[in-house]
Amino acid sequence: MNWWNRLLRGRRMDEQLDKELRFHLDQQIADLIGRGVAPDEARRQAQLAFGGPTQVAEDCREARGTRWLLDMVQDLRFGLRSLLNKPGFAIASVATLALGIGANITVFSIVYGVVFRPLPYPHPHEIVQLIESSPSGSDEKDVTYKELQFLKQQGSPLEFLAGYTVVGSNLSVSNRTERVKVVPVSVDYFHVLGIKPLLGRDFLPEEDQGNGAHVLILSYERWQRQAGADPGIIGRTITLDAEPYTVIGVMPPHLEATIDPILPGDTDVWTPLALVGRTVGEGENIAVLGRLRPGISFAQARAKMTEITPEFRKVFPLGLVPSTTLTIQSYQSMLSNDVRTILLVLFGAVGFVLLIACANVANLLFGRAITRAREFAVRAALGASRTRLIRQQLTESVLLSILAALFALLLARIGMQSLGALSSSDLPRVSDIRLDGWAFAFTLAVAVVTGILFGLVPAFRATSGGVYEKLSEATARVSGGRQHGRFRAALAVSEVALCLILLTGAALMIETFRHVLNTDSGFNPSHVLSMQVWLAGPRYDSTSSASRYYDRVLERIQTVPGVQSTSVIAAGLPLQRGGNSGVAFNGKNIQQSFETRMILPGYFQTMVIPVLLGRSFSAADNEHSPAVVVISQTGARLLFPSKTPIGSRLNVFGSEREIVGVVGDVKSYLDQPSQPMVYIPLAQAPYEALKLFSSFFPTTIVMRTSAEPMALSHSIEQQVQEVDPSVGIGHIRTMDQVRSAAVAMRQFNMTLLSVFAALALVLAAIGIYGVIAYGVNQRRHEFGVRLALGAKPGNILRLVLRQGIFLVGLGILFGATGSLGLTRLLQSYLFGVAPSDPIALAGTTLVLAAVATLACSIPARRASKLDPMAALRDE
Amino acid sequence: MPPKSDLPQGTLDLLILKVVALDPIHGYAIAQRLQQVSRDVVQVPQGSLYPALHRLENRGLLAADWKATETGREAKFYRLTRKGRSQLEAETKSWQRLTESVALVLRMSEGGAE
Repeated sequence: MNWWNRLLRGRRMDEQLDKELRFHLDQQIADLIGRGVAPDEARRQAQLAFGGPTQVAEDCREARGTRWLLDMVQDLRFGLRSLLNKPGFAIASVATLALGIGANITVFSIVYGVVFRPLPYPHPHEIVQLIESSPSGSDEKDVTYKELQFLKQQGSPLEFLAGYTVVGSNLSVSNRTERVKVVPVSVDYFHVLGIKPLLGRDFLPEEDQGNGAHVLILSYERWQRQAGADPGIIGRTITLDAEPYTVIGVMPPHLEATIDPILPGDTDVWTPLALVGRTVGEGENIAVLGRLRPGISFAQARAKMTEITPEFRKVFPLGLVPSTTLTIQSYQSMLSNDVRTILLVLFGAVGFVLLIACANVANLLFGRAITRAREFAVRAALGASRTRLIRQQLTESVLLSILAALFALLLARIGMQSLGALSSSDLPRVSDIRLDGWAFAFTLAVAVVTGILFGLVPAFRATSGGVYEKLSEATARVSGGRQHGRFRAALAVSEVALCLILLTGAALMIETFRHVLNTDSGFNPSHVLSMQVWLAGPRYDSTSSASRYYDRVLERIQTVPGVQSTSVIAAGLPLQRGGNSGVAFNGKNIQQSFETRMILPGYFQTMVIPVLLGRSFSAADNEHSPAVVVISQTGARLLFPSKTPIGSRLNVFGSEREIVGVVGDVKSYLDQPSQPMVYIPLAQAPYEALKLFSSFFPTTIVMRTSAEPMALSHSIEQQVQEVDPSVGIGHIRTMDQVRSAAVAMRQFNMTLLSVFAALALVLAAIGIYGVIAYGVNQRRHEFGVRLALGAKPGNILRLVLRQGIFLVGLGILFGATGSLGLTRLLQSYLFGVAPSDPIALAGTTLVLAAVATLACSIPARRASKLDPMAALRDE
Repeated sequence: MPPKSDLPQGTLDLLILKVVALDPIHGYAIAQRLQQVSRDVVQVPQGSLYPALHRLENRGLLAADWKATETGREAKFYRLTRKGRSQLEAETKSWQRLTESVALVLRMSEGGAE
């Protein structure tokens, strides 16, 4: 009979077993009687020789190998029954654990999706990115088109090497123009990723040579939207930036590869890199990916790449900072490079929350184990082994946590929806965040581990000691004793300690956020609307045609009621990444590159950026008038520490310009010092520079309004459309929204950490309350005696409070030590506050102490109001 | 009466296989047979006989049928399966090897003591 049969036919087997054993006994008795033994004596002797029939039968059942499962089913049924018996306990534990596990699943899904989920390409670990590493760290290495060509000839450890960059383009279909994300790639790009087109083909080597061929590959999503999933699209012509392109392929779905802070979202179109080699590729704008040759390890490839460094430096003396070397890093880890640490910190924080929840449930279980001591003692007396009793209790606690995990999955769903709204475009691989099999596996593992974690100690404690003591103890209703008290105290202390660490971390993040928000961005963001516009095509093939367009648009916008002033800025908006260029002064290149913006008159007035010296631009500063430039205060300090810059000449974009004004600093990043900046009139910008910058950074119309800016967006959009419908309109946002977006990632981190800390605080308060309340309950008799002997209620109150405050104090001590160590992990995310900020630590300590004391005071007051007679009669 | 010895670990299974190998036999008779054959030296604790039988049955070394005894009552008769027979041969051989070598060692040390 196999295992399954033995499991399923258990009852029949039991009957046969019974019959077999009875036959043995009867036979033995008959033999003994046959030998002349009296029947009663014969029965006695036979039974003696046989041993306990129940025990033998039990051993025989054990031999079937199905025991553990039957036991488990029995334990589960028993556990469920005993949970239903105490619904209050069950609900409290399940709710606590569900919160803890739910928060963990949510963060796990984010961390897994962003950091650990393998990229959706074949053998993703073989895909590497070119980086430069220096003693101070490492960073992505972007190269010029020429440098890329050099690397392609050298790239021996890599089977395929490809460059890519990200630009925005206008895609026109019938009368509509849409801004799309275009990724110009080298011919081997898709070989690096290991992706074949769904339809058509990918790029041919000859299409990526010279000036590049006008061919493109559509993303699956763009193909669905723009071409209605028509397979006949291959070979047709599509207008991109007003030029005709032939569609040669369609890629499979969900092929998001590049994370670009300016153009977030999925790639729409791929084109040959050679098309932009002479424009975009002049600067170090090309990221480099490669695929390891089969049989070559990552370490070997890394070493080979490092060997190339001297040669690279010889050919491109300016291409590499002296102390750095070229090397490679896994593409996957590069994608999450900026957020990995903070996500892992959040993961650790939410783990703390779960530990606190576990401690609370362990505490509850403890109380229950003690009230059930009699039950266990009776079962032990009836022959249940200790292992069996422990196993049964563990089954109960795992059952609890699995129930909790089911609710936690629900909570996680809700959590992830609300996080989706919170998460910013700064979070890479957002599309890879989802509740999936891994999250379920994680949930199950967490449920089982937490169940064992919080159930093990109470289970061991409840079954320790002799049966006799247990029975008498249980009858006498004596407390769990000193040992139990110590364990509970340890739980309370660790809860306080963990909670303090989380609170301190959250306080630091909140403080940082406050500092960032209070940072002066250099302009007045309220009542300003911004609208991205994208010019492209032969109609705008010169600076004068572009600037004529902007003049006309601004004229129209001026007529919209509610608009006070309006202007245009190219190459980046404040609080966003923008363009840089090298500036020369007195014939020498200045070491530091300057942030460079091209603006129309009225920009400083619209944004309320103060003109500190000289003048701002006017309509008179056009292509026919002398070239002029305005510099920022930081730029002025850098170049002219002791004299006025007005009247000096600066070389920007290869031509000498007279400095006519100095304006206040404007920040591109709130948490970084202002960079030196130059502004030139857009009408005086060389067309190449305008075109290059416009392919990376949006050109934005800004408008100061008297009314709520968003209310005007529709009529303004209409005006812009009317001037030229072929111009793509991008994001329309108020500058307040732009400012919020700039701090979105910080807000995300701060909010999560604060929520976890608040959760921890509530759970810890409940935990401390539970420990103290339980202690009070155990000592009712003692307090009754004290009160009867003349103790004042105040004495009892102080007695209980002192115990509570001692535990809380101990917890704070450990917590403060722990947070001094752990908050250092936050260092790089803090701004304006040190990890060991004494005010943050003191403040959180105070909050925690106050909340914990409050939690202690409830049972303490109850103890002091005991009726001594009732307490004594209880015994 | 000679002193009774405890069975070394694992030998009970071997003895059961040997007894059952002769002809189909029920549990009580196995106990009787073991006692008789070993001249009462081997005292099989009846409490461990049945779990052992069931274990051997579950491992497929024994098979069992319910048959009437000479007194007419139904009893569970065990018999050796083919797998059980080869197991018995293998274990018998290894047991003999073991006892021979133990005996060898014991003789040697006697010699050394003289």
